[in-house]
Amino acid sequence: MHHLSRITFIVLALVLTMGICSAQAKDEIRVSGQPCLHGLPTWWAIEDGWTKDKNIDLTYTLFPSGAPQVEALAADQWDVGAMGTVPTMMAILRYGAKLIAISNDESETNDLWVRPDSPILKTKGFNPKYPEIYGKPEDWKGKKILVTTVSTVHYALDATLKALGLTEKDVEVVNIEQGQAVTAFASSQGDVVCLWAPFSYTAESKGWKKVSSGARSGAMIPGGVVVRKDFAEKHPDLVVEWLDLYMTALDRMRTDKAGSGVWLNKYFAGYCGLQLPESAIKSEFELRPIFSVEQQVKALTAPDEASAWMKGVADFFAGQGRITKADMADLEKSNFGIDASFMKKVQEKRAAKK
Amino acid sequence: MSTAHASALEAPATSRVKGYWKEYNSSVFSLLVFLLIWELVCRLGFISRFQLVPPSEVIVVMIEKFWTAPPDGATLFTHIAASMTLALVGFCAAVVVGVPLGLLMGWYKPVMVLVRPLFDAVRPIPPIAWIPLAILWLGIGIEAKAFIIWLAAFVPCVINSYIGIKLTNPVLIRVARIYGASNWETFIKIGVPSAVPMIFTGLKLSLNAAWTTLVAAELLAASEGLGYMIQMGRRLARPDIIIVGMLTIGFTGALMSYVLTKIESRIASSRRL
Repeated sequence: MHHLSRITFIVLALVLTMGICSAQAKDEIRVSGQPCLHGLPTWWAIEDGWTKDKNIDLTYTLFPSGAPQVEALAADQWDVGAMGTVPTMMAILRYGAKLIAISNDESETNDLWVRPDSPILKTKGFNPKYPEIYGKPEDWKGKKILVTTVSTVHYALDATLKALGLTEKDVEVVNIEQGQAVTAFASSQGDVVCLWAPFSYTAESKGWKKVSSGARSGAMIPGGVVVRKDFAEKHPDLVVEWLDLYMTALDRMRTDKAGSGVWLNKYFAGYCGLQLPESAIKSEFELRPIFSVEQQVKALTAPDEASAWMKGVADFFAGQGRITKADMADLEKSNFGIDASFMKKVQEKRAAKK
Repeated sequence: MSTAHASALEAPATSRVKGYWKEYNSSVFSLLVFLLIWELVCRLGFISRFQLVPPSEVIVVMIEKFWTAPPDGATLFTHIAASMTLALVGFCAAVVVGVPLGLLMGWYKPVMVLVRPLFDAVRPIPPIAWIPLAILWLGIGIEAKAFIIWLAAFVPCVINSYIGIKLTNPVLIRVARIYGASNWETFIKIGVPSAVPMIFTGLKLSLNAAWTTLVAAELLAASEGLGYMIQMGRRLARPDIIIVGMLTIGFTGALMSYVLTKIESRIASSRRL
């Protein structure tokens, strides 16, 4: 009898333990991001406990830039993530990743800066089609321009030069990484520096003047939210689950800028080690338009939006000889990896809840 | 007698040649096996082609790169010329400063006392950490990049020259002094020649360091060069371009090291004490 009760106790304990274990066994989604606005949503969801009642467990890996993030994708180190337009395009082209959302419109935060005494500042709107671009073609000719080549800001520079009727042959393009570009420009190297946020905020704080940007020169630069091919095929429901969380964060960023600013500051300062002034945090929301679920679905399906934006970037790369004609054909064939199905499911899920 | 004597002389020579060929064949064989395994691993799908491309494709890309600029913006010759210029400028500057400094530190105690603390403090700092300061001090031209290479190449020059002169045979120094040579004369005529083999070892290490730092140096505002080519390959997710850049650095570095070894065998053998 005594034995029997002991066995019963052990069996009960085992059943309970298994129950607890099975309750805790959540599906893991490995998310990647950068020290950038588009990295905030997942980190916010983790830190604020948005997944407590959900059957998913998010792990977040921070990458300093797009290149190592894409390399990690190739090594199957993450499932979903947010990144800039160029790494997004490379992830689609080389590794078959899918573009499932636009994290934000980065066109205005890919910008060109000069020192306050630059002759470029004397004229504005030389080409009436681009009224916000500073300088006449003569002012730009022969200028030494510091830019991270093969990047979105290089695309913005190219569009600016085209708007002025110039090409890269009319100026001196110097390839340099972003952090070094700021240091070099601060020590009087170069005439124009091309930056992206948050480096742009450093430029602003130094008193440099913005003379153009992607938005001002008609170059649309969408931030990409991508999913690994295998993961999208094997776990579409998990992708939708995570995308729903991502869109929840984007919704809050659109509707509650002050509250979201507090979280962005925590993310930058506490997690990424970036100290930005309050004005820069504010600018992050002002300068980067964020799309709602409905806008996302429209952007991902309308032929003149996401696919046209990606084509613009791809055409620039093809023109530069950075991607081949075959690469371009692959991109066009896959509609630039755009897959609106996940966002549509998020839309349906939300409609059903209502 | 003469036939027997000749065959006795030829026997070791023949066995030396045979030994050399055996060694050579073994090296070629191991290289071919390595390339074959690499090719098979890629072709049989053990590793995704996006992570590693087969050597046959790397060779094709390498040949193409001799006359085509895309996707990294310059031909392989342009990249090699840019990197070789940079590596040689940094290396030569390191030799000009490092070798005399190491010799003087090894021979004159006051020089060692003065320089060593600073040298020991600077030595462990990785050259890449100097990039921001290099930009502030020297701008974004070849000077700053050569400075980064100089920092890497300078250390082995100093250390080997210092050790080389420290190992000078004390008997030779005493003999020179007994015959009335001044300290400077002893340094020039006994110390420096006896340090030559170690100096050359330092030069080879230094050249190696110059080439290994190339990628870091070309992180600094470069638009051509093998390090730049690797970075572009990375940005464009093109492992074939990365591997071509890496192999070219390896080949060019090995070629320069070979040239240095030949120079050493001519100079060091005639000056060894």
